[in-house]
Amino acid sequence: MANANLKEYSLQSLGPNAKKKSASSYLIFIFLYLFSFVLAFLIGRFPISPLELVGILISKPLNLDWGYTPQAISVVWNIRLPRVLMAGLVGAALSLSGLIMQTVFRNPMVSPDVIGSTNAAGFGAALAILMGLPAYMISPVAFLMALLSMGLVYLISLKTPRDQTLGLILGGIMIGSVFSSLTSFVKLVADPTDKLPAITYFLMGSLAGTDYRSLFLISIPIIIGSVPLFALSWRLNLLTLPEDEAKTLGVNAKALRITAITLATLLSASTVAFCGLVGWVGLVIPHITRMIIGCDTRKTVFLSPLIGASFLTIIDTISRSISSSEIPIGILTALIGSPFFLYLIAKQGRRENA
Amino acid sequence: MLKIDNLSFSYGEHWVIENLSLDIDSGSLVALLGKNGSGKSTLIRLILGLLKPNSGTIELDGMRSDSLSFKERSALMSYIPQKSDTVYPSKVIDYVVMAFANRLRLYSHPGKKERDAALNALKEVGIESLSEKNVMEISGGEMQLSMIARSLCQNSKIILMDEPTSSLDFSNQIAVLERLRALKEKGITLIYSTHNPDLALEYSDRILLMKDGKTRSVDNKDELLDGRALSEIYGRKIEVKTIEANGKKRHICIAL
Repeated sequence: MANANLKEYSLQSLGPNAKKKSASSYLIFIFLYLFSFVLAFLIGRFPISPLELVGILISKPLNLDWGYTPQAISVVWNIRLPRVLMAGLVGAALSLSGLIMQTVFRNPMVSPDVIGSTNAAGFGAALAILMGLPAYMISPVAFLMALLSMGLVYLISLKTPRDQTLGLILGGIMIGSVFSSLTSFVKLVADPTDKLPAITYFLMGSLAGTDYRSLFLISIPIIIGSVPLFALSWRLNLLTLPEDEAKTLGVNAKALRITAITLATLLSASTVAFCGLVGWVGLVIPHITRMIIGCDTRKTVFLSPLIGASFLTIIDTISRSISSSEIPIGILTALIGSPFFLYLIAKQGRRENA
Repeated sequence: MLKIDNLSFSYGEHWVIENLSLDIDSGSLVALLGKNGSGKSTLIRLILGLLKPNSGTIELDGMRSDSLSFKERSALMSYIPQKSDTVYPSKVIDYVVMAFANRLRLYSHPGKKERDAALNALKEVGIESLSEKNVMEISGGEMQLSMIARSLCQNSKIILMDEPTSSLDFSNQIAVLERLRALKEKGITLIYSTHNPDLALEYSDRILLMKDGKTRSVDNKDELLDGRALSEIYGRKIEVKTIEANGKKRHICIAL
């Protein structure tokens, strides 16, 4: 079903100018990221001009006094910088995670949220908050739950006769709903005065309250998860072949697939542990990436996180400036992501009928 | 080259292959004939190590196949499926370059050397002009040739093919089979299954007839010209006619 739709992605990147084209795509999206980065500083309740921004970013680490108010310096360095970087990291991690899942499951319709992995991570995080575990423990618990759900979903898809894709998606929806009802149960028994609001607000997905410590803590799993994926990117292309073919080409397809899924799960679960459920980024951004640059994992593995970082930086800027109180970022990504998903399905339907 | 000893395989109670013993020399072109479900694909998958036999052994170059890893086996054998079910489009050249996965280190990417070798293989099968095309947009025959090019890059001594001609038009069938015959001359062993006894009679040194778990190896194709063995395999009367055109002898199977 996916083939018809994907055909058109490729056309854009194949052909004699492909190399030039992919280089220019990287450049455009690096600029887009820088643009969203700067924009994120300029917009907000405490206005800062572009010139001020550059001045403050340069003068503070060099210990120069260029006459900026301590308030402005604090807004740039202590509030906006960690938050903007966090938005970029989370967007990048989710987009890479979704891309890898779409690649190794050989299915462009999956993502960490579609197949229930983020729901499971959310349950893990809620459980950790309920049990009063320290903040640094939220991440491992979320990861373990996500890994458990992925294992279950993978087993279900293997046991599904004939259509493994259907098994994967239906199994994912089922496992996801099991974990979201477990999360509801956690909320039910949580103390309604402090823990319940903490869990509820946390799961809505927000980057408010990001500091350097959380930035440091999230970057560890993100580096562990992404560096091997960058290195394995060519070999991951072989997993888009049917398993028998990959095996006869000498690839240990099972081991490679499980490794990649584990790393992708680590990436998405760690974002859940720090920022709650930020849905749909992992589904939509890899699609956009393939439309721009084609399906070669060697390229998409870099471009997808880059686009995801820009996207979430912009969304987060909107979320904290569109109304007088901040809107949780997960609400905005779902509002944008689900219509896009429907659009993809509709487009496929049209092509199949055509 | 390939030695199969007392091989048996069943799906549950249903025995697909019973006590098959077979020796295949290097540089032979072997066709598998039989009805749907007679075990042609199963035999290919057993030889490739994708299925485990209930009993019996397969030896490749004197080594027990089940003692080898997929990586080691891929250096000896390559596989061309009936149709490559790719989900994401790639360029033909990138598809062919995948053959180097068994020689590159885990984190390495293929470089110019591998690309050049892939281009050469495409040239050898006559489709180097397609190297930058999308695999989803070339014809079935061109895709088969791309897969043959990939097999060549794999540098294996045995190529196994599951119905290589079934989805091809007539001229592409001939193009692919002519290519197989040329590879055989270079000492590569080729084993393919087919539903077309005419083509099997023309393009093979040896034909394996498969029915109800029993396999009969026919080394001298003249044995098939009376039509009795083919009639038995397909369960209806078949006559083999021999005609001559342009000085070439051809056999045609006619179901009566």
